[in-house]
Amino acid sequence: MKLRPEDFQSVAREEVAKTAQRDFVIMVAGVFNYLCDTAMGAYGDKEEQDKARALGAQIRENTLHNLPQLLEEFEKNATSNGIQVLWAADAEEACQLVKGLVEKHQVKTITKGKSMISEEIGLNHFLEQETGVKIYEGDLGEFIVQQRGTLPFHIVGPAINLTVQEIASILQEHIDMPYTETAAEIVSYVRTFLRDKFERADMGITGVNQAIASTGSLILVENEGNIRWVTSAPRVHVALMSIEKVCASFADAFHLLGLLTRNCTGQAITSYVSILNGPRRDDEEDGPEAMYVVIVDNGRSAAYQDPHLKEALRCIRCGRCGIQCPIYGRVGAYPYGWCYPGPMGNVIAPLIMGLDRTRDLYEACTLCGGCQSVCPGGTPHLDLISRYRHMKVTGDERFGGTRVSLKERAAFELMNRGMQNPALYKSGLKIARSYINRRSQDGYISSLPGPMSGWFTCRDFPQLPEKSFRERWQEDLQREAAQLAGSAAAQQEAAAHNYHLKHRPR
Amino acid sequence: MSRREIILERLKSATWAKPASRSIMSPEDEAYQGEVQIFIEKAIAAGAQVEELGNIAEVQDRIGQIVAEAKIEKIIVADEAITRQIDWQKLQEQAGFLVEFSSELAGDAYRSYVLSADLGITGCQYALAETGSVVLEHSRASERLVSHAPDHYMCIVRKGQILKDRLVLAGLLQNYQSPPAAWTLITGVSRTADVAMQVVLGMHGPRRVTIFLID
Repeated sequence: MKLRPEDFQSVAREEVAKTAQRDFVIMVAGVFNYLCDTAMGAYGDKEEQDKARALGAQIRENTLHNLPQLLEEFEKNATSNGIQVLWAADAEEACQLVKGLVEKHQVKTITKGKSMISEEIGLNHFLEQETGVKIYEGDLGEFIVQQRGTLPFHIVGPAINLTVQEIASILQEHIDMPYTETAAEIVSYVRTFLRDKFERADMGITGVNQAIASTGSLILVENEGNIRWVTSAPRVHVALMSIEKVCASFADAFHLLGLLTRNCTGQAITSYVSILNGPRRDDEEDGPEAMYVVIVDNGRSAAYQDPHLKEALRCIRCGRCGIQCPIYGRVGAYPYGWCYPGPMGNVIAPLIMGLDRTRDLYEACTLCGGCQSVCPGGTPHLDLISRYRHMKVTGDERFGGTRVSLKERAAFELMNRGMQNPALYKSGLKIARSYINRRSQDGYISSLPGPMSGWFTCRDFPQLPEKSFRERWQEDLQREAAQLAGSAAAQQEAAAHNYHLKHRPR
Repeated sequence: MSRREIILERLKSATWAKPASRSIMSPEDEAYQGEVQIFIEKAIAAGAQVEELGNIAEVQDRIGQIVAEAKIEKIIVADEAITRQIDWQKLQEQAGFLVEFSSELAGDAYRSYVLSADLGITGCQYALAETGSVVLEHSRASERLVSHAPDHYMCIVRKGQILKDRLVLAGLLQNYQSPPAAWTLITGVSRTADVAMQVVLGMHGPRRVTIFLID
């Protein structure tokens, strides 16, 4: 799947026109918000829920503070548990490492648990091209989008935007499922189809929800049971983990997982939580003979060096921010052009794919703060998005930001200076007013040439009034002063009159 | 420098980064045990069937009835003290099904049996009142697929095994002397809502989960 966040605007235009999809996604968001709010109620009233979120944020903060130490500790303990830990600097390296394991273990078939990091690095496409291995996604939603050849629509519900009819047609075309619009029959058919793959696969690939440094354990959560198959039946298990997915202890991990599932599907816990401490013991039948963890950096350590940008690594991938986001609700996932849609993608994508390529993502944000208000990891979305905008226009080369053109810079510099000097501001406004109003039609301006042209591509601006607020304010002040002066004079006159009456000669 | 060293070096060179104190959450001693009624409510809400029985003999009777009703032909059982208390020979004679302990089969014989079994039965290490979950500790005696491959899964839980919540469990798992290769927390039935938000039970795991709760 090609990642193309630079096509945000054109794809968003297409997606926003799909009114049925848009209405459905808005409805789904409402349902999920209700479920998540209800599930968060298990912590108690609003104050207690805030405390639970604050503790989650504190755990993430401590994790980030101790990240290199925790990764070393995890590696040491996982290795002594029999897990082989590999490190990858970027997507290409991570894919090459997995390819090496596929070849080493002579793997023909792979089954997968839903893993966003594998989407991020484009693993399926790479392995199929390079090794010819057959890959089956185990999560139903992910399996459907794999057949369809599109990006996941949401990290929790990859096919949540598709109707039953669309899903039935996709599965009929790709796996010969007899057409049915009954969800239970679709589920049953895919269950049988994938059961055979689960049983025969040579390698299982999953992500990681949390890795525990002090014990070298991996925790994976799911509802469907595909991850249990993928980690129990094949002879090799490869878990892909981005560097920030580690935490200190079971207590920390369990608190985060409670927040994760409540903000993800509105459940106190998922149907299955697998805690893996290594490959199967010598006498066991189930579980992998060999187990690997691939720790993937992919741009994160560069972000980590910046005290502000490292905050983007707080995310625990619950996807609640997407449900909350008014932009995501209207344009859906595809315009974001990669596997992390919505606010989550807005904060992570620029650090990995560069500020220029992802400009539309963080610029499409309205800064309403809905995402930040519910984030259980304490991600400061608003600060990060504002910061990316600043980094972009000033040309932050560390993260692929090209400085804006001389013309645009000059225009903003002029505005900057003008706004700091009242006299310049006043005269500048007068010139701008007559320039802008010349383009007015029926009281509205629909376009302007130059650096402001982009602003008008999707909206109009009302004609500027003859007098500015400041001018009207000044006039009001002058009028009031005159009235006051008039009444003061009248009072003086009345007082003098009274004095004369009181002291007149009798 | 290896890739590992480069990544770690980059992380360590962050000038703002100073190791901070770890958050410490510890369970309250008095709240170690979980309430049976809460466990039952939560497990049922997650889609499990819960039967509160007096003793293992009653469990044996119920298994016999269910197996006969559902016409179950093949059972795989985890080799645990609690499952060994059931008189399988007697049950077999009554209902005429095949039964095997997972530990008594190996290699292809084990795999083909577990994959074709209709019912898997295990005990558990702990249970959680907070969520209605059972916690399995996998080993040769309790293989992973026994509770996952068959269509129907039964778990025998002693009330004394019910812990209050995850925090209590976290404390226990954190201090294991020799942890198993895997633990699994099972809460109700496998499910999906990936087809137009319609919740369907029994995606890849058992379609039916029965918990027998005994003293």
